[in-house]
Amino acid sequence: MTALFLALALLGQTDSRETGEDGLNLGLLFHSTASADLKAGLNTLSADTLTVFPRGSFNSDWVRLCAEAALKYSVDSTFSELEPVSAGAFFRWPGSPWIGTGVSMGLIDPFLAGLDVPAREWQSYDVMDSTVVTVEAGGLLGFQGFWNQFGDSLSWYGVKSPWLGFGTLNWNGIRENSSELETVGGFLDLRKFQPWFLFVKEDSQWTCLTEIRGWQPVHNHDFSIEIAPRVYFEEDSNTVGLTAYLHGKSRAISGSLQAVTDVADPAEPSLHAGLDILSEVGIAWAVDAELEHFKDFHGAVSGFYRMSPAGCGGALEMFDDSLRVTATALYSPVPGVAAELSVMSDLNTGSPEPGCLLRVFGARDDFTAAVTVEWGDGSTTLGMEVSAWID
Amino acid sequence: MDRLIALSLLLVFFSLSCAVFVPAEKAHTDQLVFHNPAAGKVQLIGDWNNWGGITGATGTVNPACGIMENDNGIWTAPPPDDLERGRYRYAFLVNGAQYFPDPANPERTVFLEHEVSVLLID
Repeated sequence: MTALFLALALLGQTDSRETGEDGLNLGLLFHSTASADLKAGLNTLSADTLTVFPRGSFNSDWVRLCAEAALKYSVDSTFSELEPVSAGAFFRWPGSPWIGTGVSMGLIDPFLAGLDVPAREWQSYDVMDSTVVTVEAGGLLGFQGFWNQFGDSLSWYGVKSPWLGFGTLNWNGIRENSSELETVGGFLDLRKFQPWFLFVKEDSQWTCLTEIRGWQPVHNHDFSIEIAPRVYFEEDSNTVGLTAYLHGKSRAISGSLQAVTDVADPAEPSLHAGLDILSEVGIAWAVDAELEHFKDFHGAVSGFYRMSPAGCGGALEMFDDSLRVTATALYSPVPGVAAELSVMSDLNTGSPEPGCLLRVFGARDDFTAAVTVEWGDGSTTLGMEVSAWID
Repeated sequence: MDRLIALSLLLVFFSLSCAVFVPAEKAHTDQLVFHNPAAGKVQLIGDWNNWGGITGATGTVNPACGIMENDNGIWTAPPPDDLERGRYRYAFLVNGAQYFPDPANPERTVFLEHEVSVLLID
């Protein structure tokens, strides 16, 4: 019975790493941006970046090899340089993708998920030039662990549980020199609702975040309302909050209403409301309002009417005592090509000088291109961007 | 006063035009849907694919990453089926240039100064 249980646990695992297609894959990513100050003349046009990224990878059941380089050109052709961007060699135990090891550079970026915002965001560390040694192990009762060592000063590690039948549990951490950040998180499935929790320990200081999701006191054929209370215990403040989500089931409508307050000062909560609607006549409405501690207000109402091949819309945005109006027109003569003109003005200034933005897009499958002209505040700038992926 | 009139007119127009909502395009959370008939290409990018490459070493969106299927202006794509339970941020990238949050998902946050959506996997 134990062997059967273990076999089922092992079979339930999947490889979370993106491996791509088996065999040899070669490709090329081309990316270029250029800009010009049109008031000074079109002769100021210069390519900011002109880079070709050749890529290659080989995948099989037990090995994954990949490499990418950047070939950068200067505008006046005085130099071109080739530098490595990323490379990696990963080996897996055949038939068990959760056991493996590898060495890489430029492929792994430490990231710690959070309950509301990430505990540690992408690109928090300058590691893209570091050599990373990766070890992955797991399979026992479905648990999986990993360790990434960046040089000799930074480590990123974690263990995640399988679905335990009533919830899940994950432990992750990042250690850099003497600084340490660890998180323990997961959720319980209590059928009618799911309590989510996250404990964060940063340099011996603990934070506890909890939130209850999934409780829908109102639900019918057309919509449901979910009530989500949350409590955050942090070092310098404890906050409680309540969010009501509106989920449209048969109609294109969604929204939320949220109140969050500091327990020590409950009289000044932060309020947020949002609503998105696609109306019968084809107008996409978005309403958003935020009031922080009854002091800072931000509100926006926007509507956009789309009917192929053209569309138009407007937005009204309020920041405390300022008001901004934006009008947008869009024209798409053929699928994949569109031109958009936006005119915006701050109404509260004495002589509101509108700012304008004209963008022309082209996009098809593995190719995108955009030309932007922006004028306002006494300057006119031209921007261009092209990206293409060639297999 | 002008501000009040402009806001009032907008709210009246909003109320009238929203009197009837269109039917939901798809209620399943296993399929993300974006309505944009004018787009030539829409990409689904998020935490699970390094935001198309933005958070990677190149800092460049790969135009082949997360391309959504188009059916008369209704763009659809499923999120990866191997996501662990948790929260993932995502957005729709239109024509490689414009970021949009998911209009069908009220849970939002900000990533790289763009308003994006949060996908809850439970």
